[in-house]
Amino acid sequence: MAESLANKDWEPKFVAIVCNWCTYAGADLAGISRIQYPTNVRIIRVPCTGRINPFYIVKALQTGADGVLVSG
Amino acid sequence: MENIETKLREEAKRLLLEKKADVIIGYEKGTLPLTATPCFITTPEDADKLVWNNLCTQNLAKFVHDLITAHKNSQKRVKPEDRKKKVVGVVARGCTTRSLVIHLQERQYERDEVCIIGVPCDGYVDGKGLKIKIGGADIVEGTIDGGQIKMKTSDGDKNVALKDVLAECCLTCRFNNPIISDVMIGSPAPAMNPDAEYNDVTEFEAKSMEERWVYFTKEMEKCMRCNACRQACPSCYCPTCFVEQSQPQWVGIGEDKSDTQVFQFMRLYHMVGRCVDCGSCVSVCPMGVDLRKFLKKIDKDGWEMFGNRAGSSMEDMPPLGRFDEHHDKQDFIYNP
Repeated sequence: MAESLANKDWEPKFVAIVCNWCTYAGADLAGISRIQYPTNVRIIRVPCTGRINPFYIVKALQTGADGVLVSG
Repeated sequence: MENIETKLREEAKRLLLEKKADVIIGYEKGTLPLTATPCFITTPEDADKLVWNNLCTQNLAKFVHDLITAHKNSQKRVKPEDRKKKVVGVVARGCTTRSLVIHLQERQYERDEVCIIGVPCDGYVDGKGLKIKIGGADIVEGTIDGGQIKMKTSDGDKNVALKDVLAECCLTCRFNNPIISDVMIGSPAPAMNPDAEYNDVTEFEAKSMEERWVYFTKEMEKCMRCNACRQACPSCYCPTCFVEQSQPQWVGIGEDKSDTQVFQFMRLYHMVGRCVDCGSCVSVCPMGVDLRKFLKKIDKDGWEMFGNRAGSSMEDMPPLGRFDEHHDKQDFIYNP
């Protein structure tokens, strides 16, 4: 991670675990409004953020995500 | 100690004779010198096997949960009106009763299914520490007398002061006397040194993130995932542990370093507000992983953020098991 940060061209990969009813709807609206979002975010939609198991976050980090965004 | 032992045997005998308990979980003399091992007493005659000394290590609350769960499972196909209730008696010191409190708060069984024989505790011997102290020699024979451990070893006779080889968790123990008990044996033990409880953690917290990460990875590299810590832990009682779960498989079964880290990390997560610092996991770890530092950090957070010490009283519910606006230190919900 430290070496990656030193590299100027490096971009972190994020996993965003988002709620269907608020954040995902917000992202959807942004899409309809043709606002671009960075490609290094991978969105996972869940029915509710209450459905998120702490394992999801740890697993995402283990399998190579540099950050996890939980929103909802 | 001798006195407590005799009283303990008498009490165990009485409970079994009066049918107040169907089985008593206690400690008996181990097969190796200077050890004690958990045992299950079902007949009054066997009660004389019980011992109570500084060699009794394991937290017996684990077996209380195991026995009661096994009994309940065996009664599943019996008509509700014909079901028999079993009472499990347990020889319990401070940390064991704290684990029992956690089980009761988590509604694992009813209070009347367990009969607690409280004993005062002045700490147990850290077997690995003792072995290091005597230079790795094999103990052939040993006795504990007046704060001294006298041993015959493969390397000649050796004497070690008891207080030098007590487990870390015992030295700074805050609850060395039972929290709850049905029968209390002997008078309460003198307090240990709880003020120094978080010294290690504070020191660790002061380090930089990189240093802490290096320490974590170094410790986790020792782990060979034998799962002994989980087996010994009274708070680890899930019928299917996430480690064995295969759909989805949270933790890979190979020897990948990150899988080991995930395992330990998630076990630590599950200990939030539930670890009583009994030291069972540390004592059974064959690789000497420093689990306690991380567990103690969680304990410190629980105390500082929620004012809760796991299992310290029946009324004080665990921080992740209650919602009560009066305990919420932040007022952003009501006064944003």
